[in-house]
Amino acid sequence: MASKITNYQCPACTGPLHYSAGSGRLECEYCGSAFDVAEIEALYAKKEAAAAEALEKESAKAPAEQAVTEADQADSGDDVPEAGDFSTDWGEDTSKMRSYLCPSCGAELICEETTAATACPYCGNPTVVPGKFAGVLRPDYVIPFKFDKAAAEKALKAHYGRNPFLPRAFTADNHIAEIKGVYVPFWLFDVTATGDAFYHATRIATHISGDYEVTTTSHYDVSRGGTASFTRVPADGSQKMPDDYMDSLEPFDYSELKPFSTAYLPGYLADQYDVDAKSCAQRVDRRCKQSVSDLLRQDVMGYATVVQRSMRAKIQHGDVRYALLPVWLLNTRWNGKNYLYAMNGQTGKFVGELPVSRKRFWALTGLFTAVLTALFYFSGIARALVSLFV
Amino acid sequence: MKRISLIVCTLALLACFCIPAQAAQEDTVPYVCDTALLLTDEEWASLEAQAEEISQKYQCGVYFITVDDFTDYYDGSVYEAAKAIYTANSLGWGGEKSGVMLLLSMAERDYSLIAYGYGNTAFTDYGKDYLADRFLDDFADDDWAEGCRDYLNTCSKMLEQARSGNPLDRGSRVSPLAVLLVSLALGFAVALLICGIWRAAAKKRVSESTQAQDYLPAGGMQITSRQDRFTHITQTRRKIEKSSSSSGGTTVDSSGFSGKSGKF
Repeated sequence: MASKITNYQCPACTGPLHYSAGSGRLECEYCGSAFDVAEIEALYAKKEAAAAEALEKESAKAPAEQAVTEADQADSGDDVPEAGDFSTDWGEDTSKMRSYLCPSCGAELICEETTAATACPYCGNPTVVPGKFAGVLRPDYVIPFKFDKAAAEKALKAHYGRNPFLPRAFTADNHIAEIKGVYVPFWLFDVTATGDAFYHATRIATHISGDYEVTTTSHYDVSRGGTASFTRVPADGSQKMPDDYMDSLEPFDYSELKPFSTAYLPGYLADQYDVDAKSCAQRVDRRCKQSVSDLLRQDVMGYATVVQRSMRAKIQHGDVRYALLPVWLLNTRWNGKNYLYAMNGQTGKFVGELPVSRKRFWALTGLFTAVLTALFYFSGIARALVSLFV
Repeated sequence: MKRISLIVCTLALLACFCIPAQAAQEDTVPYVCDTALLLTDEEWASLEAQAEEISQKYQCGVYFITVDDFTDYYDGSVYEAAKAIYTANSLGWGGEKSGVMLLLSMAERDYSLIAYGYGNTAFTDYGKDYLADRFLDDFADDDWAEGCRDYLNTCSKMLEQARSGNPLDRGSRVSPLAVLLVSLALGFAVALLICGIWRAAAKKRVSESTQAQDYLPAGGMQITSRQDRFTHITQTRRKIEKSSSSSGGTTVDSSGFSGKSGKF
């Protein structure tokens, strides 16, 4: 029976391969060999197809039987007991879990059903579940990681430095609980938005007539219509990923989109989408409508005031592509609270909320107050202000 | 003594419009020149002594001149007449000709208060208003000696204040404590605003995107219709309020004088 998961091994020494963000190649930690993605793809094409087939057969079984199974015993050759032998009472969550055997050490990997790439918690070897990306589930594109783990840690430190109100204890006491490079499933929508907007606009002229200032306001009814063709508007298709974090990491550089290959995944985590394109489309539509509204408003020029009276927009969806985009997720914990940070694995853009120290806030406010008070006092601004009322 | 000075004064004032200024300089005009005969001898002597003392102490001439009708001396406004008298008699202290002069013209009860040289520094526009308020009520009551005394006393105080580097001006009478408190309040408000914005920017670094313009290629937006239709006009009229200048300082004209004039 074929293994449902693939462990990319070095053709030279059979050590585990992982995709290197720095070199853009698959590298062996043991012998130092490096291979192009295309080379490894060709080598593992057959194995991946077999893994996908094995997973398909598994999926055909009843859901109850699917939960936490040990289906790869024969393939591994080890005498691994059935998962059910340990416990059968895993509750409702079992329906969302899958188990696999690590082809490298034979340990049992228990993952969420959407997990497509992970690492063995025992031997640390990267493993890929190619079946998760087979057939209609196969992504169209992938953007490989360009920043590695060290760069993500460095970016977090730099992020700390940007907040003058950060509690000193936060940088000293908190430790990065987890750093993981994740290929996040994204839907990329081509959208054509047609909009018609109506405004009330005015032009204002002022002249002096005797002792009076005369203001003449000309009123206009203004309308603008237009069509905007957006390409590859992204929306993450993962329930686990917070939408605000994923949106904040934009934009990705689509010129570096590659046709999907699982060879980019070893060394990183990857999830299959669990929010379909239809559900994501609503968020994308809202964004496109707002952009058309903004663009039409920008075309109304030469007026003193412009007030939008109404706006209607029609959305037409074109191609929808499925892509895996690289994101570094960093978790820290401080004072019993979790802090999540995310970095765009391609551009290095870093986002995440930092705690604010009230003590530091008021200390800095006090310092600024002292400087500004001296400035207002000695520049005569305060004196001039007071003299207006004296 | 007053009679002698009166003669000198009258001759000088008259001469200055008839003969070159150099000739007039030979007879020095006293600080208090009462050609309208409003003061008694004693009053004149006392006020002249006080004016001389102030002038010498602060090296800025302080003059008080009364005439029956300023038009006898100059055909123009009382302000122009005061300037002409000051210039023609070469009044003022030192090379800068610093001084302040109050001219009373009894015919139409006009007055003009002018300053020159260092007088422009010591007697700001606000200071001249303040000074005028001190003597005008006395002159309105025909209390000439008291009005002149108030004029000289106030000039002395203002020159003393100017000597300390803080001439009486709009805002100069403001309590330093009030200025400090206002500075503190302003400083705190601005500091709070800056730190508040800074904190908000530091805290909020993640948000859902509301637009998609990053994904609009060049030429991706096409305007298909534009219509701008004029509908009507509305008009509003606002009476222009003549507000007094809130800034301090002294307004000096092209001849180097500053001053004000009016009725008493």
